[in-house]
Amino acid sequence: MQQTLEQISLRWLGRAALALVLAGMYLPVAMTVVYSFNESKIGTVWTGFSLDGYRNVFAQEGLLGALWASLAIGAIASSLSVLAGTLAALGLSAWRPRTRLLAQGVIALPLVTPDVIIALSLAMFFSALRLEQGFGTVIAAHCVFGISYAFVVMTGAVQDLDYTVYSAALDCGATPWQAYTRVIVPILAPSLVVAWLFVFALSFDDFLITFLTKGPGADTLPIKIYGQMRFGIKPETSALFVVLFLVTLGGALAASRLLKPAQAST
Amino acid sequence: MKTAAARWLALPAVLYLAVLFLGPTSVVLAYSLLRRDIYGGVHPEFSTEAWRMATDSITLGILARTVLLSAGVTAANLLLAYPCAAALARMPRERRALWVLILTFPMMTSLLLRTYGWLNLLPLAWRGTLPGVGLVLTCNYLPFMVLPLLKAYERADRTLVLAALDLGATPWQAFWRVTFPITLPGAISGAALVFIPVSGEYLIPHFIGDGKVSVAGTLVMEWFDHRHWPYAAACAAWLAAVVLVPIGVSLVWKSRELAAK
Repeated sequence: MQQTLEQISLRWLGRAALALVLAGMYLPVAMTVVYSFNESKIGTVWTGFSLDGYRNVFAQEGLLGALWASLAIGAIASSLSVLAGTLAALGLSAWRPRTRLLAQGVIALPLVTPDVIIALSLAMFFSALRLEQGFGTVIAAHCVFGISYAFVVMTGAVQDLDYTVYSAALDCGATPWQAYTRVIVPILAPSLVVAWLFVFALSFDDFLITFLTKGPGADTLPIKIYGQMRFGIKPETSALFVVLFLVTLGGALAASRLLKPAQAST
Repeated sequence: MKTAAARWLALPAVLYLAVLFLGPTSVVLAYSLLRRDIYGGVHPEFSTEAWRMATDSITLGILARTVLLSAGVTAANLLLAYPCAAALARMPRERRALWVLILTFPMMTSLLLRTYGWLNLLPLAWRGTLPGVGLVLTCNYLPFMVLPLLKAYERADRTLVLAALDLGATPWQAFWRVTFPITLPGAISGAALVFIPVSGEYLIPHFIGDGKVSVAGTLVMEWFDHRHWPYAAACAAWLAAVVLVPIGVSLVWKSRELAAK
């Protein structure tokens, strides 16, 4: 009996912890939703309910441009990173164990380095080379952490790869290129999508590294929000993120719907 | 691909990071040993001024505070995430997957907007204090601890705990003697995923700390802004040492353990 009492208290401990974690995660998000309906143009105080934030989403100066900059930088950096990371994951399996370990270490180093160090070192590096900072330097900087993350995700996928299908394709008369594009790439496709989305999300939300490597003009959404933090986030900015949140949620749900029948059939 | 030609595929990534990660970090080390240029950048002239500043009691105090804060946030995360991961692990598969999605989804929203939300949620008395900064950091990094722990729980053999309970262990004993040792690898990777980024965190200490809580991240950014690049570089080097030393120690420990087997 004492056992069950302890188990019941354990279950409640678990539920309480889960509730606390949920509160910690969702309270600040709820605040964004609340502020998107704020009537006040400045956003530091609640003055009343209004849908103006949503109506004027793109009337706010520079918000649409920042969104495009973020989307473009994220898409380019993520695509380049996934390409390089996947090639590295495929290629390194043919390296000798010792040099492979060294190379893996070099590629994964940005993962165990705080952002502020990456940001500062790239800023000093670009300045030492007298490079003019702008979109190009931001994309180059995002590829530093992007390749690392893509490499780690893709290494897991490549390790699970069954190489006999590649040999089988060659035996059946495929050229190595055909064997890659028709056999290996389709098998890796789900992991490629995960890696791409992951790096894109990191790039889309990055502030520090962008802040220190951007030149004039390459203002992404986080840079724009940073500028509003002191004097109050404008309701349009909150509204844009509520819309983005709903779009992502809808996409995630649709993807899980699409993937489910495929899993059931196999 | 186990062919010789495939070897070259890894070259772009390796070269890219050798140039754009190892290169920049060497530049930081070099800049920390040069003289300051008031207009930004450095004078190409050797100087130990930055390191003299970076070893004074103020800088070392800020570094100690950073380590304390990161350790506290990591400990708080462990304390909250363990019962949470245990509760998730007990759920049926489908429901668990849904909960994981629910718990991680806020990470998809902007960190800046979430920080702004906290700015308006926190009682005014907590703003500009170390515990206030710690609280927001803890909440922000929870998924990084819960997910590796959950993975460790999923890998663990649950019958071991049931056996321990059958043999008369109290749930507390069963946790410390059975569950904890099995899930320790998850706890360690979770701790690394929290400790490392928290030690270099800038946005949360900057806004929640309201300029009153100085940590390594805010220190580096402030002095970069004040155009004292050598000092900012020295502080960044300190931070790298603080982060890399525990990683190095754990690596040595791990390879020794492997060698012993």
